[in-house]
Amino acid sequence: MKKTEKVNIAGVVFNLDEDAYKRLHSYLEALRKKFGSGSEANEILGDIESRIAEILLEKTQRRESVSIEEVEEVIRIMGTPEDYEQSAETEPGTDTPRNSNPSVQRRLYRDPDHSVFGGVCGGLGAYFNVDPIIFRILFVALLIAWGFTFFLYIILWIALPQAITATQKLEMRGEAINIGSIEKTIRDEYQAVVSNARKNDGWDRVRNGIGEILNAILMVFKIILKGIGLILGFAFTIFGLALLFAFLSMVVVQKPLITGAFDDAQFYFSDLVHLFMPGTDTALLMAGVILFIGIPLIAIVYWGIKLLFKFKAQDKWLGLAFFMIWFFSAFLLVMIGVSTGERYQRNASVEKNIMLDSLNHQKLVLEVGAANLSELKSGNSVFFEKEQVAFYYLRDQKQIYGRPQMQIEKTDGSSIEVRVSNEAQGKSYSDADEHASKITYNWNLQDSVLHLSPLFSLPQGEEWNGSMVDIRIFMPIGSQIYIPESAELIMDYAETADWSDRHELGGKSWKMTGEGLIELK
Amino acid sequence: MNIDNAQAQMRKGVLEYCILLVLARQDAYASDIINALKESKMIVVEGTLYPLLTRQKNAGLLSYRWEESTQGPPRKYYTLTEQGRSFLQELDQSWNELVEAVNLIRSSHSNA
Repeated sequence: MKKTEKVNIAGVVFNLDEDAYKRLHSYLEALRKKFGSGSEANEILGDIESRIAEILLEKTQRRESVSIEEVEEVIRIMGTPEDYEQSAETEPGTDTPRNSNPSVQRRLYRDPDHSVFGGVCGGLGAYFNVDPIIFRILFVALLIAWGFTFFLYIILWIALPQAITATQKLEMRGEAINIGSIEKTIRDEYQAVVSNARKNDGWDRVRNGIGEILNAILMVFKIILKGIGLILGFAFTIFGLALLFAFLSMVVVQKPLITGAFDDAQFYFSDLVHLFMPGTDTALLMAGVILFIGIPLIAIVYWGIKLLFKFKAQDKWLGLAFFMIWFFSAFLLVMIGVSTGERYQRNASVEKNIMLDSLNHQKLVLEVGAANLSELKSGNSVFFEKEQVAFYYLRDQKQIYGRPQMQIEKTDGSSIEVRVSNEAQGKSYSDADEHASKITYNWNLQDSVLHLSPLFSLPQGEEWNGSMVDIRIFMPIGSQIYIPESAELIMDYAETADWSDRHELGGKSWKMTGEGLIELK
Repeated sequence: MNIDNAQAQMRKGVLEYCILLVLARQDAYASDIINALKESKMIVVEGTLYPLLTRQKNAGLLSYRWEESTQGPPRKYYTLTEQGRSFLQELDQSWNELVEAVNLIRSSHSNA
């Protein structure tokens, strides 16, 4: 006695003995494995099942259930799974020309079989596995909004190669490349050509003609571009190398940065850092700057060489790593910049005022000492002189000297007033105040003579911290002043009636009037 | 390598050609095609036919319509398309070339 299973084969109900059922089931499973999934496979299996149903109906006309012998018979007629071996393997089992096989390498080509002008949209469509019409619409829409799209299309036309061989076409669609798929591609092409040949009317010929002409023009463009590419590659390499060399010699080798560029100036990088960026680790800053500027320069040289010698390299990860380092260096520089800025955020000044007795003193005589500039501008010093602003840094003593700035203004008061402020900056008011009080500036007022020192100084080892000395002379109307020529060096501004140049002030006496200082003859 | 295997291989190669030849004469069911092949002493198992038929149909060489059957589920009635006919002409030419080539090789082989 046997158990039976009720099954449905191609819509016909059968009763199978238990062992017959198992045999038939495993047979059909084996076939399904051979054919895989997909609509074509389903069709084939459907046909096979129909035929099995037919055969079984014939054989079991007089009996209720199907026996295992009958199933074996069916298998013999239809063929064992091994018989299907060859046919299942020679064909790739794909049913649509544009499939979405992601594991094979996809390349962007121009598709000549789906082309209006050059197959750019066709190729894009094949690569992204969408209908090329989408790209065509996109191009036209962008063209209306932004004319440059035309050039984008031309660039793509030039840059992308046409998929001519079957292998290339398969690569374009990302399909597996084996004999079966190549054969299928050729067959598809043949059919497409045959059906197109009938449709080729006048409009198509015109389009083809335009396409040919454009192709010719683009060939010329391509050659020109290649030439330009070579020149560019060469230029980049040379330029990049030159910049790199200059940069390295400046920063690393400690040669003076600029000589003679700023009316006598001489800088060393580390001095700059020490003076103007107090508290900054010079090495860290240097590293940051080298990386920040150096990496792009190296990149330019590298791309230049690549363009010139036309070689490709697996350098994506390398490029990414360098970019990360560069980004980090930029970040570092920003941090340093911020912290430096903090050191200059507060101002403070130490002031001293003197008012002259108006009855006895209506004329002020300025006297400005001479500075020993030769010592200050000697070999081992860094200095900056531009018009009336100057700073000197003696490297051996680590001492800073600077010129004070003098201003002569009209005042509504009745007495001449001299105000000298020592100013500096710092992180906080108290910090700035401390810096300001470190400034040493020598001056005094005796009778009507104001003795001024040509320079102020900071203690040895002290950083600049924005130190300045500001001398203001306030003159009421009617008062007079004698300005020596030596004062021209420290003169920032004098309120003269006729806008005299500061070089015209020296060696003369002046009287303050309602409109400003006028020369006394 | 046994002879049956080699024979089966050769047959599989020409099977697609034979299917088209049979359908060129008249439209038929899959079982009719099998019988026609058997009559001409081309022995194949039925099962191998169905994948070929479906693929040729998907390639546009054949088309079919459903016919009701008293003996069971509906059956596909195959017919050759225009494309199929021109494809068949190509295959005819290929076949002739192939036969010529093989004959040439045979004759030079037996002469040597």
